Amino acid sequence: MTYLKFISKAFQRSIAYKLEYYTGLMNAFLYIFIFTSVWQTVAKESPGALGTWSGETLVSYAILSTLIKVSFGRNESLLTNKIKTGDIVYDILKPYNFVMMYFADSFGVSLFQLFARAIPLLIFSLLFFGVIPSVTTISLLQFIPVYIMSFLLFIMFGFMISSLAFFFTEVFSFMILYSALVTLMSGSVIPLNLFPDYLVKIIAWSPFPYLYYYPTTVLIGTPIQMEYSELILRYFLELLIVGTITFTIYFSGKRKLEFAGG
Amino acid sequence: MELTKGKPNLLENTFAETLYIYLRIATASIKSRMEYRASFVIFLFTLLTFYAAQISTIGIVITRFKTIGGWSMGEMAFLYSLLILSQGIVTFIFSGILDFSTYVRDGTFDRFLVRPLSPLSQVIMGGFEITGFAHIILGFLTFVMANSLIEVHWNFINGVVFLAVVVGGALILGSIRIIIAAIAFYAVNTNSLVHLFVFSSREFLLYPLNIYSGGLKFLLTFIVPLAFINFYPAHYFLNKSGENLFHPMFVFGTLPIGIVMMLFALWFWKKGQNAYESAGG
Repeated sequence: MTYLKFISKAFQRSIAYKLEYYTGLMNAFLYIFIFTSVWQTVAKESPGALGTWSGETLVSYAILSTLIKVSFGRNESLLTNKIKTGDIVYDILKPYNFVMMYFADSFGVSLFQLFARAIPLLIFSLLFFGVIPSVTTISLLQFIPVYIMSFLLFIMFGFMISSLAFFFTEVFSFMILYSALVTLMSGSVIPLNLFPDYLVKIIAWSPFPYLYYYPTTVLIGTPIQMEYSELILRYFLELLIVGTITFTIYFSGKRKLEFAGG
Repeated sequence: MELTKGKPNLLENTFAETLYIYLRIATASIKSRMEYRASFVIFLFTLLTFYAAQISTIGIVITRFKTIGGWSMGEMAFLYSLLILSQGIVTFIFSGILDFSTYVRDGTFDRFLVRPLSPLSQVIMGGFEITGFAHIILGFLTFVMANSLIEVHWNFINGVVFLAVVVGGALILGSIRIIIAAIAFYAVNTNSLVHLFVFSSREFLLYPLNIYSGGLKFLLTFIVPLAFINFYPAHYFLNKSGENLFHPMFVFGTLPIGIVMMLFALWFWKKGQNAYESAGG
């Protein structure tokens, strides 16, 4: 019940910032316009280089991967600010689990992003681009668990970087590094199948394509170069690895804090 | 130079002394940044990683498809170098202004108003960012790479035009930052606007303007004239056909547009500053 309150509070907080809402929408439009323009252009110029995908598939991919990205939200400064100001001490003393609170807050923000941003953007994209993504009932059903696990990965990355604030004065640099890795390897800008094969093999073992590339390809029903069950197993593996690193950083940071507190 | 000796009032400072004060503020800003050396080095490393990732994504697309909108890899590298060089100057000078809404929100801006110096210059010089160097080095590297891939005819005049384009591009980017900062006088929290107009909108410039729809081309030429930073001037240096241009003279438009935009930004700032009411009440 307590955590439901956190979810609701985060949702309401997101509604309160109207300017942020509209600029966020415009921001997503901007990326959709850029990516769809790029893919429409190259598909027209060099159709032979597309491989197994068509130009329409690429455009659908660009729209849906951006929408998935838009639907994920978290409060980047929730933990870092508390660590910087020392307020984390009070939060730890409160009768709830701080980690669960962080996850509930991110869930609330993401619910808002999904309903208030991603869905209106999807409707707009369908009308504006006239591209109907080839989503079937099966691909949608397969997408849901993958989407949930990508979301968990997304939150854990945020929590991992925020937890580094226990050790470093400023975590902004780590956010940039994360952003660089996401830009290159998550499929949020370029679908992995356009990469050279040797790079795909390496990147597929990193957690980044599991954020946006696999959810989008599962949703549009394009081949994922493995069985669906293997993909799910890989998700569990990535969650286990990222989760272990995340909580190791958080709990060792927390211990450091208690030690400093005396 | 001794600042205070024989000068009973700072308002009587000469231009040279005022400039000296600004330089001192900028130096202090750089020193405070360098105080956390490890953080600074990590920041520099991550910044370069970010740009490397950005270049790699464009590189992957261009390697696979050979051209984007008729622009080859060398031409795309040239386009990118123009953007990053202008960006480098802007990062140097106009980084402090990105946090301006915080000054308005917590009332810190009042402090700038009581000093006998231009408040805008104080905000700018107080946030002098040394990492602009990283952009300039990166811009230079992509410029060298572009020149090794394509033939660009260089002579004294083209060299001067190139410098004018980079400065003009910096003026366009800098003026956008000032305009967004000045909105804080009315809207208080402009973080999301900064994100949209300063960082995300720049993504348009990673690709040639001719790949976008007519509406976007119009927007990026006449409303938010970002296309003058790299797309239009690149036509001049690369000797590309002008069929994608609204007007052939636009290839020389960067510096004049940069100056006009900067004048508008300074007027807008002044207007906002006059309307400013302290958050302290």
